[in-house]
Amino acid sequence: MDSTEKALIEKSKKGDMESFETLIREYQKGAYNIAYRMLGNAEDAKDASQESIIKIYKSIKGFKMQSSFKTWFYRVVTNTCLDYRRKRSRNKVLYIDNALNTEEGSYSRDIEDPSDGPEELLIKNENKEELQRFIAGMPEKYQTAIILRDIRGLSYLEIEQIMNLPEGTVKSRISRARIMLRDIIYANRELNDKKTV
Amino acid sequence: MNCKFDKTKINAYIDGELRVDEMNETKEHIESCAECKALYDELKSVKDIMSDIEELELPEGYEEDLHQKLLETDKGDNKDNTKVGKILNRYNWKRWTALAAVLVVGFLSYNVWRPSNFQMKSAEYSMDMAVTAEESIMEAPQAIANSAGMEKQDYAIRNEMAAESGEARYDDETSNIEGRKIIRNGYVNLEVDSFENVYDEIIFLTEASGGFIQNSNTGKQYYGGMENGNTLLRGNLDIRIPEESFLSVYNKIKELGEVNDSSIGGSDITFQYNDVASQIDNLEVQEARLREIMEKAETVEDLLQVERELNRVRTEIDRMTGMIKNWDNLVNYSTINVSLTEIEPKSTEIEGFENDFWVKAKREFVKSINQVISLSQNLFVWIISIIPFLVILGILIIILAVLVRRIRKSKK
Repeated sequence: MDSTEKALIEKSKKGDMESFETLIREYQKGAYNIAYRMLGNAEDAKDASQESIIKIYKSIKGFKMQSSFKTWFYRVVTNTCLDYRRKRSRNKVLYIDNALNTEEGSYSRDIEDPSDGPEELLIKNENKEELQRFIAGMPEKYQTAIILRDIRGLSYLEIEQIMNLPEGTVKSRISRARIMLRDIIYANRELNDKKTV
Repeated sequence: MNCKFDKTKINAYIDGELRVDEMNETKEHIESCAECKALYDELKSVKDIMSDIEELELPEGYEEDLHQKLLETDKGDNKDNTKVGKILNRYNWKRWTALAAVLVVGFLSYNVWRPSNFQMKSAEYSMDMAVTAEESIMEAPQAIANSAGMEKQDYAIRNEMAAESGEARYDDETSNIEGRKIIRNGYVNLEVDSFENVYDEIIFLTEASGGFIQNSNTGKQYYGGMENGNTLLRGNLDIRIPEESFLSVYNKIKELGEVNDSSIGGSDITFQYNDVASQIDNLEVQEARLREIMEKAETVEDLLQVERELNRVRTEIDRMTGMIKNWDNLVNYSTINVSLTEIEPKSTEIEGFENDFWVKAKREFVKSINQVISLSQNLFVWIISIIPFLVILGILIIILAVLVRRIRKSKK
């Protein structure tokens, strides 16, 4: 933790909102991205990530400088997103015809319109949509680990701290998640190869 | 997958998260084992694909939105910075809960120590009710008399009118309270131990007062199941009592058993009565005139016409006289409707408990619920009532706390 970050945290603890906003500026994008990968759509991602930032703002007074702010931040984000996911699955919201916006454009999610030619889109995006959907639907314990590792690029040690798990468990979870992803990616690739032929 | 090599290690190898010796070991294995090499390649490509996923930019307005939400959170926190909130925060809610608990316990023990308090109040209340009820019965004739007074003027005018057209003879015959025509009736529902005794007693009372029995019916009812043959009697009596002894007989009947239900009613028919009476007078004058005309009639036709008219007048007079007679009867003889129900005499036998076991349980249950309701009502009332004391107590406590703090400070 560098000294500017420490100073910002100290100020935030006293209720200085501006300092807090500066402090989280470099993290909020990460929070949003994690939430997006975990929840699978922009709206929930925005809500959940902002909710976690508000939680952090409310509880920053109790933050002890012993652990790193980054891991603490990500822990709150992942836990909030998991809560959000559980809540959502309890009263399942299907985003019928709710356009999914990504950097590549927007698509209809749950109802496929045959006239749009979904096959073409899938090939063009190299399964990214499929992959995203699969990540969002993964069992939560694998999902969190693999998102933090491969998408956020955090170290095993950081993930251990964020998820509050021993080293071995984190290792096996990442491994298991990756094998699951391999299965899905390779299965899809074969499918698409057949389609393009 | 035949190779037993730890896949987790292959994975960690890709991430470079192994100790040096493990890294070397894994590297050697991958190079020698085709199966693990394939897995390694595939997992590596998964990692690459995943890392390839571009980082999303924050959606438009994200930071502004967040800023707004943070402001709202601040505001929400500020709410608790109001004076009450501060006090509540400082002396946290647990203390207040404790205080509330003490109050509740205090209230309950207060009620336990003086259980008669509320009951007495309610007893007094019901006694009041009884007194009012009695008074209202006693006052009933008076009230009627009062209303009679109010209408006296009107009545006097009508009397004059009647006198003008003829004599007001019907009035004298059935003079009532200040000349009022009041039909009185009473209703008593009694539970009695012995139907026959009470029945005889009522007949005796009726006859002694110069009244008569208008209607009576008696019937049997079974109790405790048809098969054991236990029967009780019940019946209805309509008795007519001379108006002047109505109240005394009514009250005597009420003493004969347990009163379930009783009522007294009266309807003042003075106006209708006088109307009809004066109508009769007028009609009689008309009749006399018609008779005169009839004597003077020369043609048969005239005679027939007059006779027809006379007939109509006569019928009308008869009808009205009938009404007057009926009213006189009703006014002179008040009606008391007595409903008698024989109940099982309170026996010394051991009662079977199945019969009313559930009824009793139900009754007690309802009673308890009512007690809970009234207790909570009383609790509420009590809390409201002690608020002034609490205020004083609170002030004292604050003063005490300030003093204690000062003393401590000065010690330091």
